[in-house]
Amino acid sequence: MTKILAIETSCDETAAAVVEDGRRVISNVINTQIAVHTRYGGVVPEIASRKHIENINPVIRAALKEAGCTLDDIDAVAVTYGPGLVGALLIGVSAAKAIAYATGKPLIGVNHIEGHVCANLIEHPDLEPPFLCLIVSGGHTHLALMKDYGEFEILGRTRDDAAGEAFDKVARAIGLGYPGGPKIEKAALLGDAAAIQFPRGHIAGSPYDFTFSGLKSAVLNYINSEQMAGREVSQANVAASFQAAVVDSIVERAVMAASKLGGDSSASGGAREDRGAEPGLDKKPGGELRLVLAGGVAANSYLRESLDAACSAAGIRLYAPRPALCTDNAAMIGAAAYYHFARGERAPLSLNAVPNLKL
Amino acid sequence: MKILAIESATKILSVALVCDNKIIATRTSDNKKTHSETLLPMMEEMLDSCGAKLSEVDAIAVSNGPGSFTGLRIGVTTAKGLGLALDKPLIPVPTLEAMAYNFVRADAAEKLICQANETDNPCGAAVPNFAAEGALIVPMIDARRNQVFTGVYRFEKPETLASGAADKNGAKALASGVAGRELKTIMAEAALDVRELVDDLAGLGARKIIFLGDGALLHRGVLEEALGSVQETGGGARETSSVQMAARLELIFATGELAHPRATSVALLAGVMAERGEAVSADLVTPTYLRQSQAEREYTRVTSIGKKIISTTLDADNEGKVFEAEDEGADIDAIAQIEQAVFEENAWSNASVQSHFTNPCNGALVARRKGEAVGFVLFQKVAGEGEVFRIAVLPEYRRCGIARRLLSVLMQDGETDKWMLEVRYGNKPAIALYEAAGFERERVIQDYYKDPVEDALDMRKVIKEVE
Repeated sequence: MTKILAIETSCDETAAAVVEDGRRVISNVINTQIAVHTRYGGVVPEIASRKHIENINPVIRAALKEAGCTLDDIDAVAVTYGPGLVGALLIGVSAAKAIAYATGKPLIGVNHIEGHVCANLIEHPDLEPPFLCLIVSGGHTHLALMKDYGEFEILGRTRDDAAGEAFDKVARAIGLGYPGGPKIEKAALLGDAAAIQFPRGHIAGSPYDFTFSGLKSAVLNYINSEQMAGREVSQANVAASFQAAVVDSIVERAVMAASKLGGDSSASGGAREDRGAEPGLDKKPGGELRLVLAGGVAANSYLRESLDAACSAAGIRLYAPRPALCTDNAAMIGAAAYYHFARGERAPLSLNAVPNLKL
Repeated sequence: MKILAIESATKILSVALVCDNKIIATRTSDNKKTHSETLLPMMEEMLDSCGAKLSEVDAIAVSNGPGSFTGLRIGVTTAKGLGLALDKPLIPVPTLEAMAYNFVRADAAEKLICQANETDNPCGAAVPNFAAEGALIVPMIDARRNQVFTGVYRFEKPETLASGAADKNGAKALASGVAGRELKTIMAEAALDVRELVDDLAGLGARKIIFLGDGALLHRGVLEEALGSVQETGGGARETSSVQMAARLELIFATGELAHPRATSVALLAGVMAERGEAVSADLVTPTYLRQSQAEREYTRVTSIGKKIISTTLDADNEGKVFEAEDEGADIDAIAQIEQAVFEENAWSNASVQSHFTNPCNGALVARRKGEAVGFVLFQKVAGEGEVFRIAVLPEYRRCGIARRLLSVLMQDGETDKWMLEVRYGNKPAIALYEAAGFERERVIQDYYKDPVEDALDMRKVIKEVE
């Protein structure tokens, strides 16, 4: 059995976890800074870095204590090295490297987005790649094929704002404040999603790419014109209508991709080697249609419900982690790290933070 | 005692291993790579080269700032990680003090004299052991925005040895500093404008000053101009704008390896600190930044003028602190300008704003960002009741919560039980703002406003007692 101590500090959560064999979470400690950043209407990188350095040791100690183990019981140290805020990432990376060096344990560098996908490996112990995944978080909106552990092929990505960014900006515009995702979701419960028709953006010729900047502008224009006309803007209706537009865009592309990709060859077992013009579009007979949801915005229950309904209708089996594993955490980093560790991959002590690391 | 030291506060990164005040090994790096990439490989190579094991180290010393925020965090987090994994204490060494400690050894002091002579220092630096003779040592780290992180230090005879017992034991003398002296803080570390530093130094009445660090290099011209020896100018004593040049100051600018922060000095000073019991748990150490983050600095600052009320800066460290207007005239002008930008033809003139303050019950709060006034609220308070007269925020700063913040500061004055205001019935955004601030609709006053005629909404807020 392999025990990995995982550390995650890419944004505003200081997190550490102990994960066994990539699937079993023994401890999962998260210290969130949301309260600190709320007054500034968003995450302030310098403040995040300062909070991480205060929290890092106690969080790591708590993860070890909760797991009932010491560093002696740990087989490897894993850390998120990107993408994220560089100053924030550096805290986790510096701490992980120092611990790995001092204990002589292997060091594993993990991509944060890959971590989000691997939260599903914890939630669904039988889930194995290859599969199609939809990653929706504060900084990322991706449709990707996970061909094997640690091996991804991007089918579509956002051309401008990530879904989470759009949530934050609209939340600010209608006075809900930060963090935008949960606040919009809550406000939308009292609103009418059909009250305002906001646009669903498309990129010509790129069926799987996302765009949210036009939607964001449409919301801001709507608020301005209503206020100019002296009409009261319904926070709830704007939130509900905006959320519906985002979720529609996401669901439409994800279901289309899953249906077109068809069976992801899970029946045949192996990783996909063929690289056609349209990757993985050769539907294998008998293959189960699967879609794996990941990322912080995956905690949005309206998105989950909409996706669930659309997938049921299209005969797609939807996998998603429980909301607690959707937001940033270190358990998912430990899950992803296990497969790199198993393949003998090791990061050097010169490992650096890579703020724009690609999947 | 074996101390492993990290110095990463500035561009030049170094590590050192020191055992009982003896430097066993040190490595320095000034390359293009980041400290994050270089630090641990460099430490590993150094320890391997001298056959030392990490587990033999008794404590980890780290240069704890001030300095580059990112550089400090890489060094401090690495030290914290090592401390946690090895279960060893940390010694957080003040960076500027450690820089001054570059002169702890007599040979270091002599080296500096040689260097000073080589560069033909016109200040006449060839004074033997001047660090021991009580020269001020002023480390300066460039803090940008024309500021430096700096402090003033001096090697002095320890009080317990002042009766003349010093210098008998050579080894001990070395450990304590130049010729058995201890490093004393004359002026505590701070982020200062160079001009402020010049004034402070002039007031200390020293005859010799040693400058070091990238800040000294950067501001050498200003320092020499303001403090330098009169010999340099070729004339008699002269006065500068800030310094009475009655005393002749000898300025010495350290060069070479004495000029920048060094892990060896961090380790040696850490040894002294450890003896004083200043080693701490790795969990407790955080860098000394000496400066808030930009977001905190630029967070709206509210000043009060007129009737004194509780107002706040809205940054993390000073929340709840009272700021009275530094310049009421400037605030009145600012209010009039915002009036113009917001209310246009209905704006109050400068004179009208001024007349508001002739009533001792009236006051204002002014919100500032980066020093610029961006919004205000005018109010009156009489016997526990308050009234909001006017509130405005510059158009480009709306939707940032400034108006809400102004109201919230005003409502928290702790002496007013009930607030009221009138607002045009059709002014939906303003009504929404007041409702969000806890105001309730009391009644409608018919045709209260002129130009155009409009009803007013009378709104009230009762402040609940807070336990």
